[in-house]
Amino acid sequence: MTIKNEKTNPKHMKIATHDFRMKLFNKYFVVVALLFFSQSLSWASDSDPLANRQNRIITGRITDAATGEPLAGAKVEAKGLSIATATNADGLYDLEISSGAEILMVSSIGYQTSEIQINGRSKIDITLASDERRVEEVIVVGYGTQSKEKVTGAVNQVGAEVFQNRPIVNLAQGLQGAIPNLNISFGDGQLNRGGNFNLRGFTSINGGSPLILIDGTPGEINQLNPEDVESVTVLKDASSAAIYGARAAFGVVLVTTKKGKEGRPQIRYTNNFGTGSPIRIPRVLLNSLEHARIQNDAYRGYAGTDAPGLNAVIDYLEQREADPSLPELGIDASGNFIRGASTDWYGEFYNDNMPFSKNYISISGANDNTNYFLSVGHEKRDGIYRVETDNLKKYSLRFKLDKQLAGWINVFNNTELNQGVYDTPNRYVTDGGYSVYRYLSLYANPYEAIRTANGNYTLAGMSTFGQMTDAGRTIEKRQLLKSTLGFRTNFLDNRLKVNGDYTYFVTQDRNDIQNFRQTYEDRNNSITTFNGPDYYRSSFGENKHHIINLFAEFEQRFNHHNFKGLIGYNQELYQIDNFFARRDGNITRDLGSLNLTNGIPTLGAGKAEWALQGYFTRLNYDYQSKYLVEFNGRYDGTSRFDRKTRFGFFPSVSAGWVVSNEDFFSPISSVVNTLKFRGSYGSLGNQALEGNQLKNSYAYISSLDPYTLSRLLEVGGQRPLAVSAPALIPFNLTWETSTTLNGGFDFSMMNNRLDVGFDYYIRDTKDMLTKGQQQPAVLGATEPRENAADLRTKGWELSLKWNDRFQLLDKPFSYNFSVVLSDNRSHITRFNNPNKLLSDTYYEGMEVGEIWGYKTLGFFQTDDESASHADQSRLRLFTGMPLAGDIKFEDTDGSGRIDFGSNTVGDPGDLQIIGNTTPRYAYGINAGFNWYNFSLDVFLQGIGKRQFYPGPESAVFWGFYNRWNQPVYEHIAGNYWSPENPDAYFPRLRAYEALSNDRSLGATQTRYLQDASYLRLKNVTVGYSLPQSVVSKAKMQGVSVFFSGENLYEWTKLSRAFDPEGINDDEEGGRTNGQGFVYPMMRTFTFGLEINF
Amino acid sequence: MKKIQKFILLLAGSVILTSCDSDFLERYPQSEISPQVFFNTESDLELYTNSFYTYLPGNNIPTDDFSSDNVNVSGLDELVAGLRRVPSDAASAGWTWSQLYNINYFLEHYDKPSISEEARSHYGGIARFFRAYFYFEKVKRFGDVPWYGRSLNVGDPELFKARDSRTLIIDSIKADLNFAINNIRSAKTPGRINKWAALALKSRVCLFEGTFRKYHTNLGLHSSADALLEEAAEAADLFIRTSPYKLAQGNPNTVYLNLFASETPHSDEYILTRLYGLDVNMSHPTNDIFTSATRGNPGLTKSLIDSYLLTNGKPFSSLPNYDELPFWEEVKNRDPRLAQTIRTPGYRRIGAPATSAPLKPDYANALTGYQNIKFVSSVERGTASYTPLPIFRYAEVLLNYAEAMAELGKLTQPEANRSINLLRDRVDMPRISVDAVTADPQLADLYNNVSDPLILEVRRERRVELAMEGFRYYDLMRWKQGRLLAETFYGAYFPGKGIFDLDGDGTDDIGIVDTRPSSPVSGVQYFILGSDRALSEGNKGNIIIHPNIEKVFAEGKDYLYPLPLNELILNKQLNQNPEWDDVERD
Repeated sequence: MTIKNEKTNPKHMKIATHDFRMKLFNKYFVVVALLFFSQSLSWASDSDPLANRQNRIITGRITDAATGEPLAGAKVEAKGLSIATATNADGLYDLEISSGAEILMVSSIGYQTSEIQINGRSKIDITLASDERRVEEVIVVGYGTQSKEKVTGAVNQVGAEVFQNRPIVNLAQGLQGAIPNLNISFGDGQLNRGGNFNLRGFTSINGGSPLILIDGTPGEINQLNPEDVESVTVLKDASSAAIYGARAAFGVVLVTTKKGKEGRPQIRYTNNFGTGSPIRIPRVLLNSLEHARIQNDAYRGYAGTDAPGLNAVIDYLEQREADPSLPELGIDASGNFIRGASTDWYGEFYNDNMPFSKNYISISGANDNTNYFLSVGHEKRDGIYRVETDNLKKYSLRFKLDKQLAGWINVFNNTELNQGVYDTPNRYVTDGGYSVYRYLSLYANPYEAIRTANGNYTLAGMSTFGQMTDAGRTIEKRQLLKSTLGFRTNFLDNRLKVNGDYTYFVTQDRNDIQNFRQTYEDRNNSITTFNGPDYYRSSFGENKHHIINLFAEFEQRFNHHNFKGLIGYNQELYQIDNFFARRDGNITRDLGSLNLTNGIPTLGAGKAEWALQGYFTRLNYDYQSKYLVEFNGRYDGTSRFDRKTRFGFFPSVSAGWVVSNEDFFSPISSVVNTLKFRGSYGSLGNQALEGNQLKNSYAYISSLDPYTLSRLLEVGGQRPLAVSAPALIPFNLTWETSTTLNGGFDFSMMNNRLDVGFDYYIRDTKDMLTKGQQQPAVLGATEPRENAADLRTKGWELSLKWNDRFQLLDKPFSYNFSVVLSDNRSHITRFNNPNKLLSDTYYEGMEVGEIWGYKTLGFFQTDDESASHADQSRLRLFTGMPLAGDIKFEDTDGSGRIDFGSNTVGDPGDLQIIGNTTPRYAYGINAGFNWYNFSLDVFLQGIGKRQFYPGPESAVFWGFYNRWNQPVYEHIAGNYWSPENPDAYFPRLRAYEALSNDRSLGATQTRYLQDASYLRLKNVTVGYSLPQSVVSKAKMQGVSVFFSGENLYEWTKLSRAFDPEGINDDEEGGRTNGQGFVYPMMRTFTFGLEINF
Repeated sequence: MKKIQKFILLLAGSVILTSCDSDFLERYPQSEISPQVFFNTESDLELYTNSFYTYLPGNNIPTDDFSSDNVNVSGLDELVAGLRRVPSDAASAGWTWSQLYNINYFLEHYDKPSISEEARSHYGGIARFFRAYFYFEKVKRFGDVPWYGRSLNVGDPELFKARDSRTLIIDSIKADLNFAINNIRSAKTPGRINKWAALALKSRVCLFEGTFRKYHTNLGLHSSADALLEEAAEAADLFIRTSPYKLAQGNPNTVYLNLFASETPHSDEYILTRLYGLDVNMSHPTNDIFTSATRGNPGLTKSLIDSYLLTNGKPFSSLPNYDELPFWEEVKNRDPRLAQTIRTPGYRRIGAPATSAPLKPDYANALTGYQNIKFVSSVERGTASYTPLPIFRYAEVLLNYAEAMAELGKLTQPEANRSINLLRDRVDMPRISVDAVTADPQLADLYNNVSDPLILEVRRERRVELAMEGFRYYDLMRWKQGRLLAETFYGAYFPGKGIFDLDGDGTDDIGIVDTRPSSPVSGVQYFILGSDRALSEGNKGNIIIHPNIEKVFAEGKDYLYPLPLNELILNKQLNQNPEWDDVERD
């Protein structure tokens, strides 16, 4: 705190008269306020400079100690005399005091209150230090920032603390569970897997994720180096996102990168290294003989005969048991192998030591007119395959420079360059076919050998291990360049700013796949070539994004009335350009290039572009920081729709009441420190359409799309090109809108130890573009899409933060504890399905995600029991009634038949809603402890409620119930029905019952419905900072080390066959092969070091 | 003031930047073609008509007989078992119309004067060939169907019309085919439609419809049957007289096998072919289906095997004890096509060294003991097949001709000699002597609504020559012999349980047992009887698969497929086929 003595300057006088002129205006507001809060009265009369002429006047300026910026609305009072005033927009005050006044007390929210001896002075400038415990939080909002106190929308922000010191590959991993209702999922654990972002639940049947902006312009969040990030803000409701219009219908995620700080140059170096291992990989019954016998019984249960070839296996395994010197693969008279191995396939396949390392260095600083930030990062990671594993290398570089050219203008550049190279063995065994995980599930029987005695692969070994070692590799290289060049100006003492920037953002994806045809030893000494592809394929895709923003801000304060206005213009052009070339027949294994192939070429290319143009405005008004109002509007146009329907106007309004700033609140302000109510309403447009980017750019234009025919028309020829009739074009394609009503409150209490935020919202997504009214199939074309579906999502989110500190053993001990919890449910309110057919994707009144299924009563314990039960012929493989040990379904509708009626909501037969796949009650729990130089952070993340039904092809769950020759997994072994084990989980041994959904296991039913809720111990980090005395000797500012574990443990009732975060289909396969065939999630342990110079 | 100037300058700059480009939002496709600029050259027409070729059958050709009385598979086809149900959606019912939309769209747009008249007629003919093909498939499956000669759009009342009669559809098909025959180019092009393929299709359609109307008297259309049979005969006759096609010739004991195992289509016999290529890695799984135990274990039925004549031209049933012969005796002295259709003693796969051990029927691959070898190609190809699959071949045209003429009572000796007897000649079998034919009691028993011995013999020839080419199911349908699907399918005969010789070389090859012996004999495959595998007379007899399954064929119902429920709900004018559960209508 410093005090300066100065003479009254003329500028100050001018402001004073200005104040006087505004008095009339002021009074109008006072009257309005009076009507509601009589307490406000004292304010107006106290500030009248014409009263009490006999007293003297003290003037001065109150500024922020750290930034030097004026503090508006700070309370200045003569201690003990109930004389007070508040500072104006420039931080100036004048206070008339009576002669008895000795001490001036100055307070402002978020600052430490200070008391100053007047000592007869008439001019006293005061700087206020911010209250350390409640630093005035600045929230990043659209095209600017705002103090947290004045935010009226539903906004959350987190700082670097949530993603620092964690062995994360991308920001998404760090953000998962950190912000309520920001739902991030990954689908699998693949090294380069980015997160899927969702805000507040099901957005639209066309998909739709939040707009992600990095430093104000679209960027690639999964490529960004998390170390560069300063904060992440999420704008959830229509009001806060409205300024971004057409692309923000489902919220906005604003990522702000770090910048230089005033003072000497800061050099920060971090290093992480560690190791990982896959978790929840399937476990197979490893006793080969037992395994083969169970499979044989399962085949018998299906066909009544022994499984093809399995008797020889069983015989041989028995012989081997008697004579262990026999080889794993026997050879019969005609040279065929007899399988008799004992292989732990999953154990052999997956790696349990996957090293990784990360290095990062940043240099930053700021002085009078230059602010700079430079960083470079490198990361290297190995994957989960034990042989020829996949690996990821990432490089990142950032350069930020901000230069004040003159008092009124500065220019800046922000450039990001990064590259990721993912190098992986080819995971798709056949051309466009099943992944290696699927093949593993086909061959992971312990009696199968990986290699023959000659050292060649067996068919099983080739399809899995051979695929890794011999089938070539896929190299995915992604490169990103984003550069923003812009200017900021200020006029009229910072009250008017005109800013503009241009961003060029390009991502380039270069994929190279070299795939070799493989061989295996099919019979002793006989090598066969597998019917797999042999080719080289290169593809290149370039997405260019040009963004121009121009906006002007105006700010004016009249006493307690603060006005802020913003108008702006934004245009974006997005260009997609890609091609691929492939040629069969690699002529060498040593090199890989299109040049070195001599087979049939195939090529393809695509180009498209779309553009957006928008005008936006925002008006903020607040009175004494108590009553806050904000209006947003955006007029947006998109190239994706026809001229007539191209433009839309999307307005929103929000208001807030900071109750704790009311005088009447002061009696309880020592208990409840702040309290604010917020409400907002508004609508936003969505022009994004999921699916084919190229097609969707021109959804209203009819066009013919050439494609390569998958057949030959000439002898010895190649696949010819073909075109087909264009799709039917929608008549009146237009904007989908999302309208959100949001209400919430924030409060902090107990000396700001407890912070609570709560929001409730209703989001209506209207006019979703969807298939049109179902037409008779004789139309012969897909119904043109229409804006014909509506959806309503309701949800809430809660965040609780507690932090406190005290002395423990003479050292400060601080700890914090936070919980975020959210929920949402969506219902379809309009959809073209008049008959409410269940075979259609949606129907009116449907809750999104609901699972229809049969109710399982258990098993028939006797054949007679089956004979007297309802007819189950629609859910069986063969004719004849089910037998003892088969699934018994409930004849819910008493029709005497287990069926789906007419498969409509009105007549669903025995189907009923048995669950819902929507994740509910997403939560995150964070606890941190700091003592002396030690810290401990624990982070848990989970989903409170979710169901999931394993698909018929989910072989890791169904094992031999899917196909007889698939493994006996541990969760099935000993857990199937037999007269001796009537209470087992699975039915009697019977293969193929789970092969399609009209069979007794494939049919969705209550018995095998999975509870997919989970709680995962995501991270535990223990840190230690070296004592300052040691560090400073080494001429460093700080050195800390940490040890961290990621995905350490999970609590879930889900079958062991799945990871709760990987229950869906292969993310990249483009083919739904049944759930669970995914790259496993990983557990990692990291050692980290951070040095600040 | 200076600052104000700067501000104005900036503002002006911004306005210029933002307002200059009013067409900024006008964006057009860059890698697709607008229909307005297409259909202008012959190659455009070719490009478009290429898309039609996917409508022709392909991989399914060698397996279509799985749903007939020619093949017994482990997972019985629902068609054969009589287990078809009314499907709810159009796609699973086969009630799909996208091909027609694509064809009609072409027919509405292709006729532009910038292209030569000849080329336009050629490609127009091709489109109409495919429309005929499309509707033929629909009629076979559903009977009456709605006819649409133009592409539809939403809001078109025609979407909701009732079915048109099969007579209208057949007449329209014929009109399309006549146009196609007159306009499509005639050069031999195995992978593409030519004039001759259109002519062959016409003979196929007219024969189908002629016999269908003749035998399904309940339709009340039998009076028009002969006219259609005449047209079938005419089309086939024109083909035989004027086309450049003829039968492949060669060693009677290998010519038939090699025709189907060759990787290039026989340019004389194959008219239209589905092509595959090793170079482009396009294969079909036929080799795998017939040589591995995991593809449904198809075994040919005894009823098919019995159809093959003895080399002396007499029926198999003329042999004493014909129904109790062991396999190796049963297949001795038979029509050479038998040993070129199934594994018989001494069989080696093409490409296998002459020194290798001959292959015996593998009962794990072929449940009945009759293991198909037709279409199975060289051993070095492993499980992948690259053999072309015939959609139309000359032999069928000959058989169409013979059958139409026989049905018309006009199959004289000269007519037989220029059709069916050419097939006999090729494999060195005695010719049919029209006047001397007597009814084979086995055949007469099979086709119980026919007494004309000549028709029976033509049907025998058709079944034998076209075995495993996908004709059998619809042949039974048009002959009104659906009940044959519901009859028990038999396999090879065994005089009892025990161990037997399959190839007559004196060593045992197969054990027919109730349980697998604890010490199996080396080199013997075991066929284990059980609830799903039996011998027809308990302790002896022919193999029966699924003895407990009661197959059904409902005469009033099963000749047609059911329409999908959803479509009946959407279009109230659409009625379900007879005897299929009708749904409640509101």
